Amino acid sequence: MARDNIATMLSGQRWFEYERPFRHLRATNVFRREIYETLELNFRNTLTEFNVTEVGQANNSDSRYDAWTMGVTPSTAALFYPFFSREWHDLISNLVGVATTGHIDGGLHHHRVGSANGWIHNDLCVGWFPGPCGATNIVLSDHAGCNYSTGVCRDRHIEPVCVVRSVALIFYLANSDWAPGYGGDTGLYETPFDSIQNASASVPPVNNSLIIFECTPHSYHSFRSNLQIERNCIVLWAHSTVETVSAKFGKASIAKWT
Amino acid sequence: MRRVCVVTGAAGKLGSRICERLSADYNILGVYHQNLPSQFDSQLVQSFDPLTRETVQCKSLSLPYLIKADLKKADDQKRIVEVCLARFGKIDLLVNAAADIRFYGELKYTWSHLASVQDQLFLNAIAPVLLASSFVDYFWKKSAEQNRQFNRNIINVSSVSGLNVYPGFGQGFYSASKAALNYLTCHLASEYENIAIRANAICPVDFPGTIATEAVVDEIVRLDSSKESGKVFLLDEGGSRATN
Repeated sequence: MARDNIATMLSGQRWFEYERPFRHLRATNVFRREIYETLELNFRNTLTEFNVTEVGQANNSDSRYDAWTMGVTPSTAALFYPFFSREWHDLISNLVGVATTGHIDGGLHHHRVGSANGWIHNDLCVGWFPGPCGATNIVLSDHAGCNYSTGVCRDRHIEPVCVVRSVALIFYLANSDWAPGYGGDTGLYETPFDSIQNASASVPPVNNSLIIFECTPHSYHSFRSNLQIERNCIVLWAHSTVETVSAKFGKASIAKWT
Repeated sequence: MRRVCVVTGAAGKLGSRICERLSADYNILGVYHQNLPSQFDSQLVQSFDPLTRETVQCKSLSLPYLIKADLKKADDQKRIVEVCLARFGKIDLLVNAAADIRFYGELKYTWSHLASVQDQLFLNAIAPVLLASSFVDYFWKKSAEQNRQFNRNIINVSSVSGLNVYPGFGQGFYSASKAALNYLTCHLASEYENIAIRANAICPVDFPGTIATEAVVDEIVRLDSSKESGKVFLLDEGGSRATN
């Protein structure tokens, strides 16, 4: 299937680079209306297919994150084009200014009304993939075949590759109209010791908007409880080699999954 | 030489537009409190084309410089003045555009909102006077001649609610705060006439709506270049006219 060039999918609006509390990029009205509507439709259909509103949530492995999550796989990536594509991977890597490997982890997140606060973290952690990646393709995480957190593979002939999250993206979609006080925003923090309530900056979950940032020792952020409306988003991480990140921030700054 | 303008309420619709438009000709110090202004380029936020990564810095010789401050705190007010003088060496125009525009309801419920209405009165009427006085104390009192030469002045953004009573909206304290600002503006003009600092207030009708935000910015630009002082201007569909 012929793919629209990303340039023709974007709305043409300018994006914004913020310096505080850590460098990050934001954009609203990211895609043209029909592109956004397709993404939202596919997201909603996926929630319906998995009876998400019925089964509740907290299906993910991290009990601190009160959300229903579903990883995007090669079979579902096309539904959420352009996110899980080499073009998009290269675009956001260039915008943030980091050398990335082509490995992408990501998924769909759904927070029902009243979901608990997340915790303040920086996303600078390792991830395991079922093989290396070339210069023009991508390799998606495959949690069933190669555990993203541990690198344990179902097939013993697979040689897993360990890389580090280096670019994070959250794209908000399929949400009701948002207003201050509704919560469900992404709080940005100066330190991991800040209280969740006292975010230095807040990114509201407005449809067709996004935040992108480099995962660094200082990129502290957290989901904040959504008091009034559901909160839905697509999340995505691009990765860099352990050597690249270690040289930049020190190996000790890279977290392992616990 | 570029004029230096301090704008409070830089994250608001009007404050943002003032910063954005005046930055072509003025050096701007924008003051915000809670929300970081993102409608114009500054040292903290810059827009770019995601496909080319090109920024628009070339449009403005000097990006607005933003500082976070709580106008209800004396130390923050002093810091605004100190940062302005440290960065630009002078101040030519102070635009007090920060305001609490909420309506707190009928006056019989004042006890329920006492802290809020006190804050509103302070922010809307007293804080502009304190900031103007700080600039006088730190800088403007030094030279009436220079103040006259550079046509230095204060513009307080008030409201038509400070001129008229609109029953049934619960805007008593908002209205009172703007009426107080109008009178205080006239007193500022009177008290600082001896050091050649002008002061005026503008009272727009609702914007954007009955008039465009751009019309309010136009009026600020007009007043800055005028010789008017001690006037309260109503700004509506018919344009601008002095009410005193």
